[in-house]
Amino acid sequence: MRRTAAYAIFGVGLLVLAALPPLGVLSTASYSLLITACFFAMYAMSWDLLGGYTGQVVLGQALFIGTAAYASGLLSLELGWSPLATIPLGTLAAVGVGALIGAPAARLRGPYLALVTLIALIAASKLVRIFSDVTGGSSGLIFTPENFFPPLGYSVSLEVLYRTSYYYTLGLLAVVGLGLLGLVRSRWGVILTAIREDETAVEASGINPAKFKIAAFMVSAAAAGLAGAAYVHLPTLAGVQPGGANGVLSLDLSLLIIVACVVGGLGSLAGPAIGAFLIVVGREYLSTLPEQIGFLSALQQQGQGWVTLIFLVVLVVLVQVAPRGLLPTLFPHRQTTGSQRKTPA
Amino acid sequence: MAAILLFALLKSALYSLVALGFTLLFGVGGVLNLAHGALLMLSAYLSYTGFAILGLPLYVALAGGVVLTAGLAATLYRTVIGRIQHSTTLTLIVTLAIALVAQQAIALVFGASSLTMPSPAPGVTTIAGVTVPNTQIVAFVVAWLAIGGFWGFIERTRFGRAIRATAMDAKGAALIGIHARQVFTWTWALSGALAGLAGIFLVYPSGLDPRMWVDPLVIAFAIVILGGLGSLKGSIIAAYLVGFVETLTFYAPQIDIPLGAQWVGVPSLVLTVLILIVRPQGLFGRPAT
Repeated sequence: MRRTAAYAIFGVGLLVLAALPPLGVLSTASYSLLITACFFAMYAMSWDLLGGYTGQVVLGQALFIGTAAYASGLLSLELGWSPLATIPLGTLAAVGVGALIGAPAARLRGPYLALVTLIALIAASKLVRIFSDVTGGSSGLIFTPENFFPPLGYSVSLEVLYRTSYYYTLGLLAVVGLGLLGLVRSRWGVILTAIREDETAVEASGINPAKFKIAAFMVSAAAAGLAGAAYVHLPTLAGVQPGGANGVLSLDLSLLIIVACVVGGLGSLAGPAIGAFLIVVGREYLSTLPEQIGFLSALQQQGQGWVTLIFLVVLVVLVQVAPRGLLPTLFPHRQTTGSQRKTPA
Repeated sequence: MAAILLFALLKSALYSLVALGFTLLFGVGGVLNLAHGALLMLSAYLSYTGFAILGLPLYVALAGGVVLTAGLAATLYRTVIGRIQHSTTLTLIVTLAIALVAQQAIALVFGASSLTMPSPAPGVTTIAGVTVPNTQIVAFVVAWLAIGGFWGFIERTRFGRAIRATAMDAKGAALIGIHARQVFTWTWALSGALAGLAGIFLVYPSGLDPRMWVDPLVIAFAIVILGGLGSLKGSIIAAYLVGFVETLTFYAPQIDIPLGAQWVGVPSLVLTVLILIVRPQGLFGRPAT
């Protein structure tokens, strides 16, 4: 029962999302919202593999996302290669960074590893700004239709453009989500969870935890990188930026990913995915609020910063009142005793 | 070259101040406070508010900023951190979130662009043929007075002894009647005061902006990891090492090395990662248990 629950939630969620366009209930704006939410769900699930299952808190998950996005974007833009080739190459670059970050894991425990991930992200975003002649600095890179994936030009209608991008996104979400679910349900997942619970015990039973930690870093980086690289090539976005609302290399993004996981419940994969949808939809709702409520209109000129602020405050409060996650705390009766695997849809 | 050495000497005192407050919290409570840089920024903005908006005299505004930051740090401990201190993971996530909350809030209130504040000690002095702004000399003197005062407090007073006892063995300290919560609160206040003091001087010469917490935090990391987390002596020695590296980076264009202001922080980061890989407990730290 428990083995299938997460698959069921995930599968039903995907089917519902896939059924939305034929029902004709989606406006153009809601397409782009759902696309963002799907990518956010992939980021959150990739973080959950490390933070939730393996107990390795990564404070700079955006490093993997940004590495892949920039590698793929630059290859595509500078060398004119097809995104079909550069997205996998970008993912490989992220895996390489994942291995580099994970390698000290053999020696480091506890807070040091989290610090290394944070430091590496800060360094990377500094480098992007220093080498702004290549990377475009804070304003980033802008793509032309040759760099789009799915490969659509400006000739198709907006409706087709959004719908195609949407289905590509869902396909990617299915691949990443099912891949990660399959992984954590295997013998592998058991070892990763055991590392989180008691690393010494894992070592004592003849398994080298470092090997598995490094591998977990590489898999997480692969998932995050694939999503990040694919995200920036979408015709609906078509550009790489380090920071801002669509930034791929920012501390804000890294923390919002953690917020999604904490909201959905750590160590459940399906939970963080749901958390990601809640965050993205919530962010959209909040950012349109000032238009409707008069006295908030002053906030509107300030950009999106205050919405992020609200989510971060929610995070700070949430870990105090519900450290296991918002959804697992709200719906405890749905949970198998002693496990956070099952998360209500 | 003499200029670089002199500036490094002056700057490193401030770095020591930043790192001391950061490592103090780790040594006593085992807390890695990623909001340390944010406290430093808040102190600068509080002083700015006092001076430019409330019209207080500059010295009062600066002192007020430091005191309020100490209070803020203690409040932070009592309301948020105290409950989650036992979990390293939650502490890291929450303190980083607090840093970003502070950044966003400051950007909302004061705007994202840079603000400037007049110096408490305008003018320049020439030392060994190098022209040095008086502000930097004052900062150096104040920083060392603060470090000395801090040292005296920790080593010579009863309360300092209670802090050291808690750092060595929290349970043992509690058994002989030391109120742990009180010790932690005061440690946070002390750490906040050190951050606040560094904050008001880090404003010069480049001004205040909502992202000014990142570089000091990164440099504090580098220093405390180099010196060994929780080791106060190690921190000060490491602060000088890092201070020289950072100052060299800053002034590198003058001796034809293509680095410069925008590279500040990067050498420290590389240094940190390398040291963590080669010697995970830091240069002066005890191996983790």
